[in-house]
This record gives sequence, structure tokens and C-alpha cells, in this order.
Amino acid sequence: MSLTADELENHVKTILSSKRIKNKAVILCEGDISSVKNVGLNPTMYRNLERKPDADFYKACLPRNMRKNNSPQFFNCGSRSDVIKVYVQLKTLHATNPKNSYLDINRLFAIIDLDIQKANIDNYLFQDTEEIFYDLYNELEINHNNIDSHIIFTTGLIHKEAYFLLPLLTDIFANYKNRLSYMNDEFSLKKIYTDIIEDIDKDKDLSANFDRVCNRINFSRLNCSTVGDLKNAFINQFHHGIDNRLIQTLFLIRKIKPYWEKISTRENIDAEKLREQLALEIAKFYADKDDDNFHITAILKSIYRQACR
Amino acid sequence: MFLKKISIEKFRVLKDIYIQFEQEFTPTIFPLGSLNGGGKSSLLQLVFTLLHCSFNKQRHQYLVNLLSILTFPKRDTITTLAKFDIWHDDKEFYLEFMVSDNNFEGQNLNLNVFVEDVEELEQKRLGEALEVNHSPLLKEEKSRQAKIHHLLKSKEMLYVTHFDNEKVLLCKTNLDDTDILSKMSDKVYLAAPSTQVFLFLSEKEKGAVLSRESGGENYLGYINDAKENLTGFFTYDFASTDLIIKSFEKARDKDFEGALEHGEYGEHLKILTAELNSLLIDKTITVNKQLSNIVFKLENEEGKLLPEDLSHGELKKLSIYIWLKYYDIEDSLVLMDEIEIGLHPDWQYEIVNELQEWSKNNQFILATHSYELCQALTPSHVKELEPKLIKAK
Repeated sequence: MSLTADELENHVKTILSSKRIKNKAVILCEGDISSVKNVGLNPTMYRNLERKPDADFYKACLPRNMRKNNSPQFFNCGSRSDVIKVYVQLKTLHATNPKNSYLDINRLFAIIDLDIQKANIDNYLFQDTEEIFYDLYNELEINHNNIDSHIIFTTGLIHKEAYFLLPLLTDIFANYKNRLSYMNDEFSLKKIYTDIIEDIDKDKDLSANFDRVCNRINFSRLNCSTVGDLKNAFINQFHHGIDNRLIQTLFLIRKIKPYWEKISTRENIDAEKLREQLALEIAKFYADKDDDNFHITAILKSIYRQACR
Repeated sequence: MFLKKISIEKFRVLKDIYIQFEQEFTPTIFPLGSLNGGGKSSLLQLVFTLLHCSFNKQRHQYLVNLLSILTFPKRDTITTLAKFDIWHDDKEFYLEFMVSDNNFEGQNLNLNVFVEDVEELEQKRLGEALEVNHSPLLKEEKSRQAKIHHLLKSKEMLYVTHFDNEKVLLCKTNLDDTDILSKMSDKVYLAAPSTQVFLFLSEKEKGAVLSRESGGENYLGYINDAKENLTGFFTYDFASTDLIIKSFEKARDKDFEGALEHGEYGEHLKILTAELNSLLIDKTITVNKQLSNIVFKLENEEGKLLPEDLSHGELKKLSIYIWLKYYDIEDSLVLMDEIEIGLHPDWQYEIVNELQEWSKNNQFILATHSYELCQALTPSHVKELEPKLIKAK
């Protein structure tokens, strides 16, 4: 649900008056804004949050050298369209009275999900999220030549959660302290990928935006004549084994969150808490690898470079 | 070792406290928050003193110091002080610490005459080859004490120590093999700022903090004495010079041993230097040839840095790192008070990741006011000492 006009305005004011953003990059992200406060931040407040703020995932992905000094400040800003509105309003409100704001306008950035629908952005370098995507990524790879010209970044896969289930994380799941389950059965990435593929023809959003879907994965040469053909093409390719490129292609068009939410454990730990902690481990993996080829790492590094100019 | 549950009925400002720590969580780092004066430090010190000192006779004086500040009901009562659920050495058990007066089920619990100590003294006096000829009084005392131990054992209780002449600290446990308690006690650590008042010091030692005559200097002396006796006790001092030098010595000796054994020097010194340098920003660390001083230099520049050129936060991280490494603190319970002091908010966040890297298998309980530190974990990691409502008169 989107923020009301009042909520939006209050949120923008909260960010502008946050002392912690002084001389730092500010990164707007999707996620519930109830965790965003300006004063009295303490362990009790954090403990009382129903769940870990979404923006914290990106913070935990920061490579080590970016965490030591002038670490960017992340803010949850509601839905994807709210993030865009907050971005626009922050610029406007800051311009009306820059002396009353801790924001450095040249250090304001946003990371939003690509999603299956596109979102329009007024008065920005690119008209919509799809345009950002095609400029920022070359098929499945980051376009390193263009990245530093971006301010609003889209994920290179459909949603942030798509980065939680990539094949390169196999060892994280296998070595995790608590034995994981998927749909109360043995955890298996293969099973999850199979389910995601099997459900292609049940995905109403995918069907409704089929042209966009086909454009996105045009490079893959999968048969995109109909939704059914696409599903069969994925099934056929998947028979040859788990291929990182194929899974990333799948994650460009299929929502991953419902499958992520089926991960639990038989150990004595609540499933939601488990997934929060697992996401933190995954973020740590990206942070430790510090690999420019990872989408999130490349985006965070670009923001850091731009903010340090 | 893992501390799964703490319950405290009453200890200073702490009342009806129950905290659960989840062994399944990743990482096993738990911030502990409360208002100022909410009892975080008291809780850490109580846990440390009971678990680190109770099962090691040499540390009992510190336990007695802590117990002596409390008041207990006068006669014929047993008061529970704290109960812990613990996992150690693949065993799960509880330890319930209780205070009783001397008169326990009609028996005088006074076990202050340590029969073993008297025997040891006799043995030393007479020479080891001779059998100790027990005096009738000692024999009688030995038999009385055996009876009391038997009585306590039948109630799953252990005698810990006497204090204030007429009080006894007992420990109830469901553990069959109580020998592991001594090993467990060496797996409990407390780190805190040296400006903290430590409840396990004596009245006189604590009084030195406010004494004009001692100017606070003696208090630090007393803390150093305590550190000598309590191996698990550490204070975040300026640069932990002694530990750093000792670590260099240890690494040098290991390299030398390697040379003697295999004909080649090892890389311990090199690795230690690299690890320490990785904690510093644009600086390097080494020790002088005499191994009497630490030397800091700016990277790629000649000349050493003066103490005033060093960042407090950097040195604090260095001292925590060297403490964990030098004592090889692993599979332990590490209680840390106000770790965030002197650290920039970015570093407060980062210290959680660093603790994880420096010693992976510990359980850390971090008494803190820092939101940033908590952000490095999930909300369910954070524990709280909630303020109790004051009843209207």
C-alpha cells in the first residue's frame, strides 16, 4: 500500500533533518517506513521492529572498505512508486531551503526493484524503470561503462529477493548452521527452481506483461511465442542442469518471494526469523566477495564512487 | 559453551528478569539494551562472577565481595539469586545459585575449614613420602563435611562458599558430572571499560574510585590485581600494550620452535603483524627490538607516530582483537559492556561483523545503547531489560 500524502511529506522531512546523513550518501530503498525515525534511536526501538528493515539488507551488502568510513545511509521509503516520490520530494523540499537540510543533493540515490510492471519517473534521465534497466545492464551483466551516470538504480533481477536464491549461494545453504527445509521437505535449490518454472503459466502478472517479459529475455533465445512455450523452453533447458545464466534469466521475469517464504527449518526457530538471519548471511557473502560483477555490489560501489567525488 | 537462559529474582535493580538466548540463531551475538541505570552492567557482572568464580576456589574472594553487598532475609530461608540454563560439552544443564544461612535442614553448613587444604599443608610439612597422621579433630571435621556434602548431593546441590560468617552460597544443578563446571568457568569472559565500578571488588577497592587521596590511581591498580586473578576479566585499555607485546613474543617463539623442529622459521610473526595492520587505517604496528614498546608508523612513511596521533577507536578495536586472539577465546561466553564507547557509528555497526570474524564460535552478550550495533543483527537478536513500573503509593 502506498504512503498517504501526509506520510510522504513527514517521511521526507524526517530524512532531511536526520543528522546522520550529513556528508554522507543517502540511499532510498523499498520497505516499510515505520522503522525510520529521527530521534531516540536505541536498542529497544530496534528490538520492537516487527522485522528487519528491508534497507538493512543493502547496508549489510556493503563491501568492507565502504563500511569503515562515511558509510551510506539507507532509508526505507515504502513501495517502489513511493521511493520515486520520496526522491522527487526530497529534491524539491531541499531546494526550497537548503540551509534547513542535512542532505547533500549530489549524494542522493535510490535502489528500486525492476519488477514486472514498469514505473514512470518524471524529470529524470530515464523515463521509466525499464529504460534504467536497459541502460544499466547488458543482458545479465552490469554495464560498467554507464553505471556511474545513474542515480536511481534498478535491480538487475526482478526483485531484491531474487538475489537470495541464486545458484552461487549453494554453499551458504549447505553449510548453514540450521538444517533448512523447503515446503517442510529437504531443502533443495533444484526443487525451488523446478517449482518456479512449473508455475510460469500460473503467473498472471507475467501473462499480462508478456511482451515486456519477452523483450527482457530476448537474448536467451528461449521460445517466447506463448506463455506455455516459454515454460516448456525453461523446462527443456533446465533438464541439462542448473545453469547460473538460465536461473538469472528466470529470475528476471518470475517473482521469487513466495518461494523464499517457503524456506524454514525443523530446528527450534521461527521461520521468519530464520529467513531474516539467512538473508543477513547472504548479504555478508556479497559483502565479503566484493565482486564488481555482482549487481548489488556494483551499484553500491558506484554510489560510493559518486558520493566521494 | 552457550548460556541459554538467565533468570534473576532480585539483584540490585534487577528484578524478575528472564532472558532467553537462542542457540540456533546466526550469529550468536546478542545486544542487551536498557535505560541508563537499567541494570545491564550489574547483570553482566553477576553472570560473570557466579559462573567464572564459583567453581574455582582461587576466585572465591571476588564472589564473596559481590555477595557481601546484598542483603538477605535473616533466618531459615533460602533465597534464589539467579538461575542459568547452560549448554556445555554437549550437555545441557541448569545452575541455580541460592543463598542459605548456616542452618540447613538441621545441619551446620559451615564448611570453611577446607579439609583438603589442611591435608595439603600437613603433607608439605611432613614431606610427601610420609602418610599424613590426621588429628582426631580433623578426622571428625572430615566426616562431618562428607555428611553435609552427601546431604547436599541428595538434593542436587553443591556447596560453593561461605560469606558474611553466616551465609552460604549453594548451587543446585541437574548435572551428573560436576567436574566439567571448573572447565566451564574458564570459558566465561567479561570485558568492560576500566571506568566501570566492578561489583566483585571489595568495598575498599571500590571506594578508591571516589577517594581523593588515591586520585583514582589505586582503583586501576586494584583492577589490574583482579585481572591477574580472574583470567576471564579484561578492560578496554588504551592499547593493551602488554598483550600486544606478549603476542609478538608468542609468535616469535612459535617461529623459533618451527626452526628448531623443521629447520625453517614459521610465519606466525608475519601473520600476526599483517592481521594487526589490517585493523589500522594507513598505519602499521610493530614492537621495538627490546620488546618493551609498541611502535606505530604511518604507512609508507618514516618516523614513528606519537601516542596522541592515534585514534581511540582504532586502539580499542586492536585491544579487543588481541585479547580474543592471545587468550584463544573460542566456544566461550563473552560478556562485553559498552563496546561502542569510542567507536564511530559506522564502526559500531562493523564491530559485530568483526567479532564474528575474530572468533566465530563464541556467544557474545553486548550490553549497549547503540542502535547502529543492533542494526548489524536482526531485531530478534536484541534483548532488553525492561523498566519495571513503579507502583503508586
